[in-house]
Amino acid sequence: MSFWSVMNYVAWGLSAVLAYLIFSDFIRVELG
Amino acid sequence: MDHLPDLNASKEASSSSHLSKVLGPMHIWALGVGIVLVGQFMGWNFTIAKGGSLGSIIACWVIGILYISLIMFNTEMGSVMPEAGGQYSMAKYLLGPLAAFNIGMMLVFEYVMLAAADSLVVGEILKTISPDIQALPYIILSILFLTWLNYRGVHATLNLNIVLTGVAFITIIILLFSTKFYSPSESMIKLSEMTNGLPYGWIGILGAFQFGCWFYLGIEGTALAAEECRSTGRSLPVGAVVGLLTLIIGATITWFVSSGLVPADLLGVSTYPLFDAAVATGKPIVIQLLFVGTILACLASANGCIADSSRAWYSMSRDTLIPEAFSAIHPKYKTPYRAIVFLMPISIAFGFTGLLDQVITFSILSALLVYLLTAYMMFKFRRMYPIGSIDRGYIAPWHPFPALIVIVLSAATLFGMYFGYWTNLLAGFAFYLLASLWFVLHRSRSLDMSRFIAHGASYWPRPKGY
Repeated sequence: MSFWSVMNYVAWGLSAVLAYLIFSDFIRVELG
Repeated sequence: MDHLPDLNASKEASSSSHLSKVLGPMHIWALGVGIVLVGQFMGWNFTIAKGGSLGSIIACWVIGILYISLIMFNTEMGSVMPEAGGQYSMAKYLLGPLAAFNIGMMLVFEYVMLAAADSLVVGEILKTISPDIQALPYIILSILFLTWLNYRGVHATLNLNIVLTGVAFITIIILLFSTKFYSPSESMIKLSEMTNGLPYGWIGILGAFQFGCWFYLGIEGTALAAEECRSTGRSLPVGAVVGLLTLIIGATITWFVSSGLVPADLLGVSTYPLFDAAVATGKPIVIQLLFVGTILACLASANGCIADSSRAWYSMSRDTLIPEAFSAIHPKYKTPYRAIVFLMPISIAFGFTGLLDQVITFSILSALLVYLLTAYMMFKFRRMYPIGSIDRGYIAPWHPFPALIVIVLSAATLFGMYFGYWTNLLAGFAFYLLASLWFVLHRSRSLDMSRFIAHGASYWPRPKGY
């Protein structure tokens, strides 16, 4: 597996982290 | 391009009817050029596919005339609006709720599609590093990252946008000089060998108008900042006209370099034409600079688009044109967080398609419909408030000719869009028609006219004939 193939997974991972940060805060505010 | 009112400042602003007046001509230049400069890095080259190399440069200059005319009367109307919001605010007070709803929707989709196109180009240009790279995770990552920034209210400041815009523009100039165009013996520009003239004749020029808009689309957003100018009568027209001249010069350089380095049949379908031109020079430093310049221009533009589209959606909700749930403000970050989160998947979905020319076409169609309505508003504005009846920050010269030019050229561009993109044209019209039907048959019952018109009614005198 090449370096750039690994970077694809890193990009997916970062996207998942950002989605979690946005939606966890969104849900927290709405529940509040 | 964070010129719409900062929601953090809205409480302070509510105590007086104006936001703080801090913007000079340089800021207005950055506002106009910041979002639009990305049009030099991608999208404009589809003019070559539709009208050939010569059709492309003719479309570039003719559409430049459309935008010069547009910012003339747009600036006049923007300078007397009681609130920030550009054409949406104008429609509220000059045409009424249905037109305001449509213009609001069109502005939102103009910017949402532009953000999707920006992210799409970021994903595609990264693939040039290695064949192992996939575009999709980077398309989603760029939209999510910018959404997260905007959600937290730390979107790039105006001064940072000036820097990003300046750097991106300098990369175009460096590319130009790297070709040694000034030396007949050493020049890398081979216009006679690379270009293909007018393969579809004069009708091709009409077809090329469509993507010719991409060089300038969004420059009219400078009128959004009228309320925040130190001197509206000077800053706004000077900043907007200098911004437009920057784009016309930049567009001509872009066409000249790209058309002289890349064969027309390849250039007409490229996702990143300026980067392809840099690759054709064979100079590693120039290639790297244009790679960075393209990504910077895309991210700066997408950042501004997410900020603008969410604030337009928020304004429509606050005015009760769409459900009021969208006008909620985040308790900590003071951003229109529901509007930001709602528009994010739409951007991702259109970026996901990978169809750059069609995503751009929906943005252009939305903008052209706004221009037609804005030109009509100018006629109505001069009838309702003749010169001298209210204090104008700026008076557009030669009325009604600029408005007539915009109507004729916008209609011609819509006609030219029929060639090759008739399904997009029909789908766009159908979308706005269905949205209008929803508004008339359902939403208009919930419209609160006193809230909708309150700000303007307390600000302007009764118009002539009403």
